[in-house]
Amino acid sequence: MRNQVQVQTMKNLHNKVFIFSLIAVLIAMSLQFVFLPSRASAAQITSRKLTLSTSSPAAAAATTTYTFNFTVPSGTVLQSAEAEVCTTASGSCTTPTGFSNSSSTLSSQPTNLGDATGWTVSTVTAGKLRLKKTGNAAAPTGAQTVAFGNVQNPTTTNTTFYARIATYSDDAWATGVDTGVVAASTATAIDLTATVDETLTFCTGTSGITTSSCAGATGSSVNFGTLSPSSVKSGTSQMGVGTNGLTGYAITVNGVTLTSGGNTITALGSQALSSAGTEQFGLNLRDNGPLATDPDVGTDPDGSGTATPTTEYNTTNQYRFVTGDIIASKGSSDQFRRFTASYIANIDTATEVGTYTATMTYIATATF
Amino acid sequence: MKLRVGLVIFGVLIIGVLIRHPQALAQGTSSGYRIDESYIGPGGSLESGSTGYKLEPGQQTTGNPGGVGDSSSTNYTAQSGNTTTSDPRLVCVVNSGSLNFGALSTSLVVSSVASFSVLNYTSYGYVATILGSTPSNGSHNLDAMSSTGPSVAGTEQFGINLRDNGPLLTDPDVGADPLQVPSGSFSYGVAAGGYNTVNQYRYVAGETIASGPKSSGQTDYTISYIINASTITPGGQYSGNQTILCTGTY
Repeated sequence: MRNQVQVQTMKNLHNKVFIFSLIAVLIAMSLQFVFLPSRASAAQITSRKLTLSTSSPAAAAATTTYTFNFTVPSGTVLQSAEAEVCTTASGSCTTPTGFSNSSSTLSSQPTNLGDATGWTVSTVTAGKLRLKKTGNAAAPTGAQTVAFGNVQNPTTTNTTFYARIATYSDDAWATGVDTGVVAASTATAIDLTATVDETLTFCTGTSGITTSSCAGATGSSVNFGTLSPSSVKSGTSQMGVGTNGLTGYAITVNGVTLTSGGNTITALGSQALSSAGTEQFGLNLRDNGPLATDPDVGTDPDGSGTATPTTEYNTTNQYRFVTGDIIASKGSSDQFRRFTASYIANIDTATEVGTYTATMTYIATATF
Repeated sequence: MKLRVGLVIFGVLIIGVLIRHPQALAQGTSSGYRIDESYIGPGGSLESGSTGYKLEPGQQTTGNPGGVGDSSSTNYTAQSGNTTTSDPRLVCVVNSGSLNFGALSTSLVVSSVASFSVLNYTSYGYVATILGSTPSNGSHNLDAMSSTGPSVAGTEQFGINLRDNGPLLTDPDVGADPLQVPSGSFSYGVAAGGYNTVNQYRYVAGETIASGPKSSGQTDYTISYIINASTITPGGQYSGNQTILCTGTY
C-alpha cells in the first residue's frame, strides 16, 4: 500500500514537471516576440538610392533636395517613414557635421507609399528626415519615391554619409516594418574661371571697307561739288564696326553742319525728304532713291553683324542731322557690320556764296 | 521517463528560441536569394601551400593595398580577400578645386582638367552626374555643347569628356582615360556615352557622365574641359562652378 502511494506520488510529480515544462516553453516562445527586437523580422528595402540635387557641401545653403527611391518588400500599411542621416551605415548614429533637416519640407507627396495625399513632414528630430500620415489606409505599391526639400548637406567636402531608411506601421516612427541603408557623398565643387579680352573694331573711310573687314579702309573727304538750288547734291562715307561688348555698342555722329565763315547751311533737325531749293544738310544710313527728286545714293547696312540704324536715320529718302545723335546701335555683342552714310545738301537762292565745309566725327562706344 | 522527455523538449526549444533565426545571418543564395559576402578559404595572413600549389589569403598590407590574394593552378585562379562589412559604401571624391583657363581665344582652344574618383560597394552600380551652368559673364553663359562634337576654334563652345584626347593639331592634348584601381578585375567604372569619345566633347548639365554597372572598386576619372570663344563672345571675366554627384543604388 505504501509502495502504491509512493508510485502514485512519483507519477503525479512527473505529470506536474511535464506540464510545467510545456508551460515554460510556451511562455518562452511568447517572450521572444516581446523582448527580442522586432527588427529581426524587418525585411530589407530593395532598389534603394538617394539622389541629391547637389553634392555641394556649402554651408548655410539649406536648399538641397533629397530624393529617395526604393521598393518596400512588404505590403504592410505604413503611417510613417524616416531616413536617419549618419556618418556610418550601421551602429550608433552620429549626424554628419553640418547636416540639418530643420528646414526640410516635402517636395511633393510621396509616390506609392500609401495614400496619395495627406503626408506631412516632421522636423522635430534633428538628423532624421521624417514624414507621416496618421490613418493612412493604402498599402505601399510598386516602387516608392519620397523627396525632401530644403535640406542642408553635410558641410565637409568629399565625405560619404549614409541614410538609414525605415518604415513604420504606426504614425510615431515606433513600430518598424522594413529597413535599408543608402550611401551618398558630398563633393568638392569645381570652380572655373576664364577671361575674354574686350574687343571693339571700328573704322571710317570713304571706300575700301568690306562687309567683314576694315583692312582696306581709305579716304576721309566727301566733295559735294557745286551746290544748286535746283538739284540735290549727295555723297557717301563708310563705317565698319564689331565688338564683343556684352551689351553691344552705339555710334554717334558729331559735328557742325556745312559752314563757310559765318554762314551755314541749315541742318535737318528732324527727318525730312530732300527738297531742292531749300537749305538742307542731312544724312541717313539707307539705300536711297531713285525717285526723280531723291538722289540714288547709299547702301543698306550689310555684313554678318545685325546692328541697325536708329529710327531717325533708318528711313529711305528721309534725312536728318543732329550732332550727338546715336545713328546705329546693337544691344549685344555683334559681328562686323558695315554702314554707309548718305549725305545730302540743298541750298536756296539766298544761300551765301563760298566754300562750305563740315567735319563729321563718328564715335563708337561699346559697353562690356 | 516523461520528466526526461519534458526536460529534453524544454531544452531544445529554449536553445531554438535563443539562437533565433539563424538564417538571418546566412549569406547564401538560391534563385530568389543572393550572396553578398561569401567567404571560403584561409583568412588573416595565413598562407596555405605545397610544392605545386599556393593558396594566398587576402589582407591589406603595404605591398597589397587592395587586400587581394591570388590562388591559382594551371586551370584555375581564385582571388580572395578578407570578408568585409556588407554595409553600402560610396566614395565620391573630387580632387580638383579650381581651374583657371586664362584668356580665351578665337583662334585657339583652351583646355584644362579636373579629376574625381568613385568607389561603390555592395551596390547595383552607380552613376556620376555633372551639375552646374557653364561659366558666365554677367548675363552671358558660354555656349554649352549640347551635341557631342569636336573642338572648333572660333566657335563659342564649352564641353567636356572623360578621355585621353589629342594630339591632333586642332585638338588639345588633354585628359586621361578612366583608370581602374587596383585593376579592371575589381573596378568597372566607365565614361558615359557622349563623354566617351576621344576629341569629342559635350556638356549638358544634369547628364550622367560616368557609371559603374555593378559593385565596383575605385575608378579615377579625368574630366577634360575645352573652351573656345568666338568674336562675339562677350569680353570680360567668366566664372562658374560645377559639382559631381554620385548616386549608388543598393
